[in-house]
Amino acid sequence: MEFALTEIQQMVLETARSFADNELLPNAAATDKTGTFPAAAVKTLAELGFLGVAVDEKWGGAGFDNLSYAIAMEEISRGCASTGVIMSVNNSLVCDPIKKFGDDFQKKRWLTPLAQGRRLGCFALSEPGSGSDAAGMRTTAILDGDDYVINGTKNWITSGKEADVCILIAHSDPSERHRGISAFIVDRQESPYGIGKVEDKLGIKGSSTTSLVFDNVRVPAVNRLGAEGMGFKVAMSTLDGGRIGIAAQALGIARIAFEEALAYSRERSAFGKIIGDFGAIREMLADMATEIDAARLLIWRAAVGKDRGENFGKHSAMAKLYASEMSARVCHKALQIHGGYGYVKEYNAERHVRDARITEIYEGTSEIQRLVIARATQVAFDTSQS
Amino acid sequence: MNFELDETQEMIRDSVRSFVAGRVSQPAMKWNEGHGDAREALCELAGLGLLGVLVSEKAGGAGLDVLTLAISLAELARGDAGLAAMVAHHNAVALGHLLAAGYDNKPQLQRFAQGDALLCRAASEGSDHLDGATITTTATKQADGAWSLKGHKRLVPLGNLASHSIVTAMTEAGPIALLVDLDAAGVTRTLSDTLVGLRTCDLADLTFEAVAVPEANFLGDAAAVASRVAALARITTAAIALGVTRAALAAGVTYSLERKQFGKPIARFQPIQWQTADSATELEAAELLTWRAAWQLSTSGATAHSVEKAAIFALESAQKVADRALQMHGGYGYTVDFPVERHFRDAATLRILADGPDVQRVAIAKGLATGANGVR
Ligand SMILES: Cc1cc2nc3c(=O)[nH]c(=O)nc-3n(C[C@H](O)[C@H](O)[C@H](O)COP(=O)(O)OP(=O)(O)OC[C@H]3O[C@@H](n4cnc5c(N)ncnc54)[C@H](O)[C@@H]3O)c2cc1C
Repeated sequence: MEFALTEIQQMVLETARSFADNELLPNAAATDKTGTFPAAAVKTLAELGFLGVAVDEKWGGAGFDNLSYAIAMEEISRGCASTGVIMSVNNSLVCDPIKKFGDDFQKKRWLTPLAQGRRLGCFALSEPGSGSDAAGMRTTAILDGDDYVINGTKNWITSGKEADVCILIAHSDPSERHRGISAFIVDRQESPYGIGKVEDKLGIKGSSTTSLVFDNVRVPAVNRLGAEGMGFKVAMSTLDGGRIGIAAQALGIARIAFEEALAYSRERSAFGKIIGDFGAIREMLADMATEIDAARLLIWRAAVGKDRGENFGKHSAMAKLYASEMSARVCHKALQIHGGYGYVKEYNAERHVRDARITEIYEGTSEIQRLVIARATQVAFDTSQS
Repeated sequence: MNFELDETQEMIRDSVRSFVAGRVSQPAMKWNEGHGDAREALCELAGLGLLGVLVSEKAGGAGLDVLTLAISLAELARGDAGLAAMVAHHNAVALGHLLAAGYDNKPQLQRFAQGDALLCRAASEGSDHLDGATITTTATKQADGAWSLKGHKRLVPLGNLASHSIVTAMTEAGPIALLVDLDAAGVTRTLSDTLVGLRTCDLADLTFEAVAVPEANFLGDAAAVASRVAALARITTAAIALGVTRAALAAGVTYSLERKQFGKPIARFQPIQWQTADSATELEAAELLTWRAAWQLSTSGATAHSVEKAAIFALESAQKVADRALQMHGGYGYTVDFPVERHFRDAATLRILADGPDVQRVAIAKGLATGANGVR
C-alpha cells in the first residue's frame, strides 16, 4: 500500500489548480448568473489536454491515467462546477467508450478531435420517460441498407446545445429489452438532429441541458459502437467510469464551499468572539474536512482500480454515492456557517448548494448507486450462489 | 497510489485470519461472558510475532511498520475486539512509548517483544482523561537516585497480566514516565469495573504507594513522546474499529440473506439493501482513511490530522454499522445468541482506548484555524 502521487499526477494537480485559481474561480459566479457556456475555459481545457486526459497520446489525448483524471476533475470543479461537468462528460462519457469499444476508423475520426478539444461530445441515454430504468427507452435505430434510421427523443443531455458528436444509445431491436440496445456515434455534421429547448436548472447553469430530437435521422452503420445488442453494456460500462468524474466534481464543489466557509469563520465575529472558535462551528469544520478526505480516497481507490483493469463498478458507485451526499452535506454546512450571508448571492455559498445537488441525481441517482453497492456486497456473502 | 497489500502484509493478514478462525471465533463468546480468559491466545500470538511488531528484528521484534500492525489488528478484531485491544495496547501504546523514548535495555526489550512478558502503560487517572496535563500521580527523586512513585491509575489495559507498566507521573520539572515493575512492593492491582464492551480485554486499576523505581527505569519527559503515543493509540483503535465494522457488516448481510419474511429473503427488501450499501461504503472509506494515516505514520509522519480523521471516521462508522446490523436481526439481534450484540457493545466501548471523537474534532479544528492542515 502506498499513498503518494507520482510526479506526473502532482504536475496535473498543480496545472489544474493554477488554472482554476486564475481563470475559473474569478468567473464562476458570472457563469452561474448568466447561464452562459464557459467557452473560453473549455478552450483552455483543450490546450491543457484536459478534454482527453486518459486518452493515449497516439489518439490525441494527454496520455495520463484515470487517477490524474480524477485529480484534475476535482481541481477544475473546485473552480467552476459547470466547467467540471462539461469536462467530465467529454472525457468519461464520450472519449472513454470510443477508446474502449471503438475501432481504429472511429478513433481516428472522432476520438482524436474530441480528445484534442476540436470537437465537443455529449452522451444520450436518458429519455423523457426513462432515466434510472434506462432499458425502458423508446428511441429506435432501425437498420435500413447501410444506415440506421433513428427516431425518438433523448432528454437531459449535457452539452447538448454545443456538442457536435453524440454517443447515442437506442433500441436496434425494439422487441428485446437490454439485449436489443445498441450504441452509436452520431456526428451532428453528418447526421443533423434537432435540439430541443435548453432546460432552466437549479445549478450548474453554465452547462447546457437539452433534449435531442431524432426524426428519421440516418446514421451510417459504420458508426455503430460495439456489436449490435451490446449498447446497454457500453452504456453501463461507460457510466461506471463516469461516476468517478462526477464524484470528483462533487468533491471539488465541496472543497471550495469548505474553504470559503473556513475563511469566513475566521473573519466573522459574534458575542465578541471569532465564530470559528465556537464549538459548534469547529465541529462542523472538522467533520467537513474529514468527510472531504474520505471522499477523495474513495474516488482515488476507484480510479486506481480502473487503471489496473479491475472490476471497479462497486468502487465507483461507492465513490459517487459518498462524494455526492458528502458534497451536499458540506455545502449545506458551509451555507449555515455564513448565516444570512449564505442565503444571498453576495457570497458563493448558495451557489455551491445548488451545484452540489445535481451530483446526487445524474449518472445514476443515489438510489441506483445503493442498489449497485448492495447487490455487489450481498453477492460477496451469498454462499448459496457460489 | 496503490491500495494492494504487499507480500509481508498479505502473509501476516492471512496468518492472523487463520488464527482467528481456529483459535478466536469460538472462544470469543465465552471470553466475553467472563468464562476463562484469553491469556493462552495471547501467548500464541507471540508465536506469530504479533507482540513485538514495531520492535526491530535486532532487538528481538518483528521489525514491521505501523501499517502492518494496523492490518493485523483489524483482522484480529474481526474475531475479538477485546483481544485486539490488548495486542494494540502492548505493541503500540506501551512498546510504542518505550521505543519513542529511546529505551535501550536490550534483554528487557526483547522479553516484551517476544511476549515473554507483557507491558502496559498507565496514563489515565479517570476524570482527567480528556486533559492529560493534570496528572496527580507524583514521582519524587530519592537520595539514592531512585524515584518514589505515588498515585492511582484507572482502566489500564493489561493491568493484571502485564509484568511491567509505563507510568506517567508529575515531578517538579514536569511530567515524566517511569518503567515500573508491577510486582514491586507498594503496587496494588484491582480488577476494573466491567465495561459495556471489549470484555475480553484485561483492565485493572493500579495504585502505587511509595513504590521505589530504580533510576535506570527513568524514561524521560512524558510530554516529548505524548503526540507519537497518542497517534499510535488512535490509529490502532481505528484499526480495531475496522475489524468490528467488518464483523458487524458480515453478520448483518449473512443474516439478511438467510432470514425470510413475506416469502423472500429480507436481503431483497430495499430498506435492508440501503443499509447494506451505506455500511459497505462507510467501511471502505474508514479503511482507506486508516490505511493512509497508518502509511503516513510508517513513512514520513502524519499530516493534516490524518490520524484523527481516520479515528473519528472509523469509530463512528463502527457504531453506525453495528447498529444497522443489529436492526437487521430484528429481535434476535437483541439476544446473546448472535454475535451482533457483542459487536454493537464493542463498537460503543472503543473510544475508551483513545481520546473520543470529540477531542479529536477539536484537534482538527484547531489545525484548520491556524492553517496547519488544509484539505489539500
Ligand atoms: C442537469 C442534468 C444533466 C443530465 N445529463 C445527462 C446526460 O448528459 N445524458 C443522459 O443520458 N442523461 C442525463 N441526465 C439524466 C439523469 O441521468 C437522470 O435524470 C437520472 O438518471 C434519473 O432519471 P430520471 O430523472 O428519469 O428519474 P427516475 O428514474 O424517474 O427516478 C425518480 C426517483 O425514483 C428513484 N428510483 C428509480 N428507480 C428506483 C429503484 N429501482 N429503486 C429505488 N428508487 C428508484 C430515483 O432514484 C429517483 O429518486 C441529466 C440530468 C440532469 C438533471
